[in-house]
Amino acid sequence: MTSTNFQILWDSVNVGGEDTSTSTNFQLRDTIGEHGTGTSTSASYSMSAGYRVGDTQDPFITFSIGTQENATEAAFTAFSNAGKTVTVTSAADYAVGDYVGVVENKGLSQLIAIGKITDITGTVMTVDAWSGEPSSISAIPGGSDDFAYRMNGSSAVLGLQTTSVGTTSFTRTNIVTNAESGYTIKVQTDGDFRVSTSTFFINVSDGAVTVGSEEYGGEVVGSLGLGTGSDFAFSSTGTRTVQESSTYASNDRIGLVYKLSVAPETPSGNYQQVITYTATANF
Amino acid sequence: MKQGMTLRSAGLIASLILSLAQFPAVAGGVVVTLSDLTGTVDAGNGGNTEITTSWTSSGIYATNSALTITISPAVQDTILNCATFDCKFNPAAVGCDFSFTTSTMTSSTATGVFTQSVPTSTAGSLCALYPISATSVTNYSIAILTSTSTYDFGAALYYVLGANQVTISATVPATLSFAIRNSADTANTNTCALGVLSTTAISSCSYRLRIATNASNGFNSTILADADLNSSGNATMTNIVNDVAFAAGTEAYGISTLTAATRGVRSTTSSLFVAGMVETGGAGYTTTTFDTDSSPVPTSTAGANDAILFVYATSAVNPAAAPSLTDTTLVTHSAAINAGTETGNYTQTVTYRVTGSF
Repeated sequence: MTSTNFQILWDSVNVGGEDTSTSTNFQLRDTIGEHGTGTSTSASYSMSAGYRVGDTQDPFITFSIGTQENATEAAFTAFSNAGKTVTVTSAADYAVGDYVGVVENKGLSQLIAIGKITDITGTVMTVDAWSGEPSSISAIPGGSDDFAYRMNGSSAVLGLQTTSVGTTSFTRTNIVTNAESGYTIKVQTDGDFRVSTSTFFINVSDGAVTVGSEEYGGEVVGSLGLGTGSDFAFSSTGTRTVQESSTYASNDRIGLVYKLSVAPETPSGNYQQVITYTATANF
Repeated sequence: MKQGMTLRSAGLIASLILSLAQFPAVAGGVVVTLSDLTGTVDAGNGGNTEITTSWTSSGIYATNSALTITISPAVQDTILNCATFDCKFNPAAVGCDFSFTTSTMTSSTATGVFTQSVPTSTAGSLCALYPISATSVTNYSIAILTSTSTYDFGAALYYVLGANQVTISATVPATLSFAIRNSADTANTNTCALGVLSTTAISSCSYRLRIATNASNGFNSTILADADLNSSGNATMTNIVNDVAFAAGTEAYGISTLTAATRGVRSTTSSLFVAGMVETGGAGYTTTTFDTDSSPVPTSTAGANDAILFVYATSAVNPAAAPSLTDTTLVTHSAAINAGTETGNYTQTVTYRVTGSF
């Protein structure tokens, strides 16, 4: 049981015990009037006294990812962090239950926010909560490079490259688990971002993918992300933790932005890479 | 009054539990791992998938302790034993020490009991067959929960149809450039003047080829002259014999030196532009081997001049900014005459063609 500031794992009180307390979001099983509870041990045995000792929760973990769908790109004209809304020029490609990604100043220095749509009224979409960097996104974006995307795809299409513009796409995560010690999400690639084993992109090494330089990398965005604030190189030989928590997860999300810039000498061709996300619950 | 009754009832319950709790009783989250027959956690398109679930006991599992495996979302049909049922927990056990209760198995749960006691901290595993018919990407949660003497619980994910994968793609368009430069690589040129020839000296002139391309497989270049060096068709200079040095007083004309760029080609190991171009020669080239100086200038694509391929690279080329004497290819033409060489103004037009290997 959690709130903004508190968490009750198990509950044992002297009055009013109940085994089936529920609300929309929580279930509580509690006990009253116990005496002599606790754990005692000897060389051969361990004794745990108390009614709830044998109680357990059914363990569960659900995990999904979704990637920016370029075909659903719609300019956004207003954004509210507190109100959990985004206004777009057209919401035709969105439905309640979809994830929406908001991108301001699309490019290598873009800002993003992610939410799950709970309501669509006209061109205003309401989400359950914003993740990413919603507090930095403008209420009224100023440019022509501010967009919303449906975030249910499985491919990040960076498209045709030019040396004058860096390109981006991103994936959102979503994890729910009752694992007491939280979870870990890692990523690993199947190889370089490549045309072939001998023709591949140079991975970013200076912490920033820069326009005009041949560089490829990722950036983790979100309060539960690891290694935020700089661009990193993906690896095929080891995993990289991009998100973790030491406690229960209730729709925890981050955004992982893929960034690419090319130089005049970057070999031509169709580049590709597969990134695998692995979520592990820490029960 | 009601409060007092409740307290007395609760006290009774607590006493009962205390008497039962003389058995070891612990509850622990355990690390659960999954693998299918291919050792992966991605079933591709699913099907009847035999998945082995593994974890380490955090306490003692008494004989007849129960275990429940839950898969979410539910699969299309009842979970079954693997074709060759396999389980192993107690290292001292003979055969399988766990048995599914097949009558209670559903499309979302499988229950069974340990047929022998399992010591604490025992790494074990068991196999079950899950009829998975996902037609879209799906992450299945497979959870275990033991009961009775030790309450171990944990869960892991089984990914179907790449539900945990993202394919990143991009296209880089092709570029190709080529220029004939003076020998210092400071300006473009299309002349190479040998000057006034002498029977006592070898006359030479040079220029450079500046080639750049992002073709991932590099480029090929060819050389072909319109005719032998001649004086408006009146007289023709003798071509140098392949790989024979020029000598003053001996009539000969051709390429005396070819020095391919030693840098500017993308290394296939580091992606840095530190590799060099290749001069054509070796096997298959018998009469015009540009990798060994000197060489006649080919005037035909067939016959004796069988090697019009000149220099090449097999990966992208990005020469350093001009002038660069390392990232460009130097070509030197030479001529020598003897006393019988006919007078005249000799010329030859040499054409290079560069083709990207995209």
